[in-house]
Amino acid sequence: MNIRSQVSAVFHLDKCIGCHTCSIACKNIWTGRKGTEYMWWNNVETKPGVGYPCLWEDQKKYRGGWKERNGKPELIMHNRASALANIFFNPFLPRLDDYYEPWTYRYGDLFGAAEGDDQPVARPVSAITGKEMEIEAGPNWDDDLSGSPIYAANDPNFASLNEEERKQFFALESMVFFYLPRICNHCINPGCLAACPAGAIYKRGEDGIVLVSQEKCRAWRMCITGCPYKKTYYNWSAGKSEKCIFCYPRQETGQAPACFHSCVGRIRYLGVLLYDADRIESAAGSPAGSIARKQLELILDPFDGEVIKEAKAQGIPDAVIEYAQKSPVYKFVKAWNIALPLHPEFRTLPMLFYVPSLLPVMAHAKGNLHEVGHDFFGSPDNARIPIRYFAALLSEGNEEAIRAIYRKLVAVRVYRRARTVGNIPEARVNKALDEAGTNPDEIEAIYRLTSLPSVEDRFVIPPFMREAAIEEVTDPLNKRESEGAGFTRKPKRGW
Amino acid sequence: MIMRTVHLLFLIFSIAIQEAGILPADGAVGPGEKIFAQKCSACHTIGGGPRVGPDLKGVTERRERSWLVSFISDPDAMFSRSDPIAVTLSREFGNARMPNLGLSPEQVNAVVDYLAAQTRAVVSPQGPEKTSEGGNSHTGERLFRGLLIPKNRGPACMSCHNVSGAAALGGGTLGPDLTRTYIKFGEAGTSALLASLPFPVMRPIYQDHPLTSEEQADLKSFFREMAKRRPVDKTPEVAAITGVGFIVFLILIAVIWRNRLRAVREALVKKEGPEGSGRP
Ligand code: SF4
Ligand code: SF4
Repeated sequence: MNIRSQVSAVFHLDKCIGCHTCSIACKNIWTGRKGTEYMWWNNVETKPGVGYPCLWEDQKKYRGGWKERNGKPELIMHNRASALANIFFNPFLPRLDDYYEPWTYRYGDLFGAAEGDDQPVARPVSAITGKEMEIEAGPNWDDDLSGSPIYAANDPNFASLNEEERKQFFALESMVFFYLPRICNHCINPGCLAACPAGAIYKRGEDGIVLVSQEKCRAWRMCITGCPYKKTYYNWSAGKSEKCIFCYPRQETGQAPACFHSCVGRIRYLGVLLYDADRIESAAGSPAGSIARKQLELILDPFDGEVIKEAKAQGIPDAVIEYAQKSPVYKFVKAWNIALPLHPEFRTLPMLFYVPSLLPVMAHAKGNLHEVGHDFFGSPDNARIPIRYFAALLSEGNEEAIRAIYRKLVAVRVYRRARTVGNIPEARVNKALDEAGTNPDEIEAIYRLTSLPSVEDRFVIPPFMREAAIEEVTDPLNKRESEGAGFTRKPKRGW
Repeated sequence: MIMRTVHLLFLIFSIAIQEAGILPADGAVGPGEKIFAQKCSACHTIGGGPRVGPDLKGVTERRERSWLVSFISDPDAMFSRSDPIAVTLSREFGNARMPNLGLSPEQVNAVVDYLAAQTRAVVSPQGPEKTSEGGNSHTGERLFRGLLIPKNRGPACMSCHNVSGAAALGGGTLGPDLTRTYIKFGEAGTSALLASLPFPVMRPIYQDHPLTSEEQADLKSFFREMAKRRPVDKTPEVAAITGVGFIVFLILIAVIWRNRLRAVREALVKKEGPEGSGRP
C-alpha cells in the first residue's frame, strides 16, 4: 500500500441551477489576463449539449485520455515515437473557434458617437485582436438547449441511445436538460501530465492538486490534447499552458476554492480522500466496464485501522487522516455510493465525482390531472432522461450503477416526504428503502448533507501544512535579516 | 543566424589575410616584382600585349603617378565617381573592371615603382609566371568536379563555378560560368589566372591551398577542351525541381497528418445548416 491523500470534490447535479456564478468567480480571480480571455477553468455546460470546447467528449477527434494495452494504460494521442515525430506540431489541437473567440463591445461608442439620426450601438470586437467581429459561438452557446438542432442533437453521449430516445429529448412535452459544471478533475492518472514532454506538469504529493509549472512549460501544448476533459489551456500571450489550480492559494489558507465558495446552488462538496497509489496502473489499465469500480476500490477507508496505521507510517499527518474521516466526499462516493466520476472510460481516474440528477419523471395527462409517473417519484426507468444517458456520462454505460443511485435518491425523497407530509404509506417507504438497500440513518445523513449543509459541512478543507513542506527545502529564518521571507526567487514572469 | 556568423567569420578571415600582406620579398626579386607576379600578372603584362587588362609597359608615362596609386588602391571608388579614364578603359576591355587587390599603400607604391622601372628597362621581361605545358584534360575535369582532391586541399572549382555539362544540374553559381574562360583569357592568361587566382573572393580561399603546377596544367587543358562547348544555363531545371519538390513536400505533409484535428464547431454548423445556429 502506497497511501496518498487527495483533496477531491463532489458536485450534486440535482442542485445546480446553471447560473454560471462559479465560472465568473473563477474568471475574476484567475483568467482575466491577456492570453487567458478564452479560458474557463470552470465552465457549466447544458446537457444534452456539445460543451466547451465543442464536442470535447469525442476522443475520436480530440484524442485525449488513455486506452488499454496489455492491462496497462497508454495515451491515445501518441506513443514515444509519434510524440517525437509530432513534437513541433501537435496535430490534435482544438482551434480557437472550437472554444470560441472571446469578445467585448465598443461601449465607448455609446457615449462618444457623433450626433446623428440613429442611436449609437456598441459593436462587438474581438477581445484578442480588437477587430470588429461577428459573434458565432460562446463558451456556453448551447446553454439551455439553444441551437439544439446543431449542438444538443450532436451530443456524443447520444451514441448509446436509439432514435426514439433521442427524439424524446427534444419533444416539447418531454423536453429536458440539466447542467454539468466542470473543472479540472485533478486526476490520479492525469493525461495532461503524461503527455507533457517538458515534465512541467506535476501532481502535488500532499494534496493531489495537478499544476503546470510556469517556469518549466515550453509550450509544446501536448497537455491540451492529453487531457480528455480539455481542462488545460494554452495562454497565447505568455506562451505557457495553464489550468485550474484548485485555488490552492485559497485552500492553503483554509478557504474553499472560489467556484465552490460562490456556488449559488451549494452543489459543491470538498474533502480529502486517501488512496492507494500502488493500484493506479492496474485501475487505469483495467478492462473496459470495470474502470470506475476499480477506481473506487483504490480509495481507502479512513476508518480502517490497518489503513490508518499504514498512513501514519508513510508520513500522512494525523490531521489529514482525521479530515479524511470527516470528508463529505468520502461519504458521497464510498459510504453512500451515490457519486460517480465523469467519463471513467477516459482512464485518467478523475477525482471529481457527480451525483446524477434525479430529473422530473414523465407526467401523463389524465383529464384535468397530471399523473406523475406510475409510481410515487416513478421508477428510475421512468425518468425523463434515459438511464442510459447518465450511464454514458458517468459509468461507462453501466446502467445498473446509475439505477442503484437513483433507487437511493428516490428512497431519500420517499422517506422524507413520509416524514414531513405524511401522505405515503409506511409499506411504500419500507419498500423504497429495501430496494435501495439503505436504512433510515443513512437516509437522514444523505438528506442532511444534501439539503441542509453548512459551509463547514460542505467544505472540509484539510490543513495543507505548507509550512512543513516549505521548511523541508527552505529555512524561512535564513533570510530574515536580508530579503526577508517573502521571495526566495526573483519572479520572471515575462509579460 | 548561423549563416550570418559564417559570413562574418569569412569576412574577418579574408580581411585578416589581406592585412597580413603578401609574402615578403626574397633577395633577388624586389617587392614590387613579387606583388606584380602574384596580383597583376593574371590580367596584365609589361610589354607582352594586352590580356584581360591593358599592357602596362609605359603606363607610368601615360598616367599621373597619383592617378595610378589611387586606381590601384581603390578602383571601386574611381568607378563610382565615374573617373573618365577608368570608365574608358573598362569599356575598352569588354566591361572588365579592375578588382580591388587589397594592397597597402606601401605595396601600391612598390608596384608603381616596379612598373616605372620596367618601363625604363630596354628589354621587356616575360612575366614571372611558369606556364605549365601539357596537362590531362580528364584529370582536370576530375579536379574541377571535386572527384580528385587537389594536393593542397583547395576546394573543387565546381563548388562555385559551372562549365557546360559539368553535372546534371550544373555547378555552383556563386562565381561565373567558366566554359569560355580559355577563349576570354587565352593560353597565357588562363595559366596566370590558375597560378595566382587573383580574384578578391578566391584569393583568401586559395591563399593557403594553391594549385600545384600539374593541377594548373590539367585544369587549363580541361578549360581548353571546354571552350569548344557553349555555356548552358541550368537555372530553369533547378527551379522546376525545386518547385516540384516543394509540392511533393506539401503533399507528404498532407498525407502524414491527414488524421489531424480539423475545425470541429465550424464543421458541425456547416453540416447542420444555418437553422438554429443562433444567428439572426
Ligand atoms: S482533468 Fe485534465 S487537466 Fe485536470 S488533471 Fe485530469 S487530465 Fe489533467
Ligand atoms: S455556481 Fe453552482 S449552481 Fe451556479 S452554475 Fe456553478 S455549480 Fe451550478
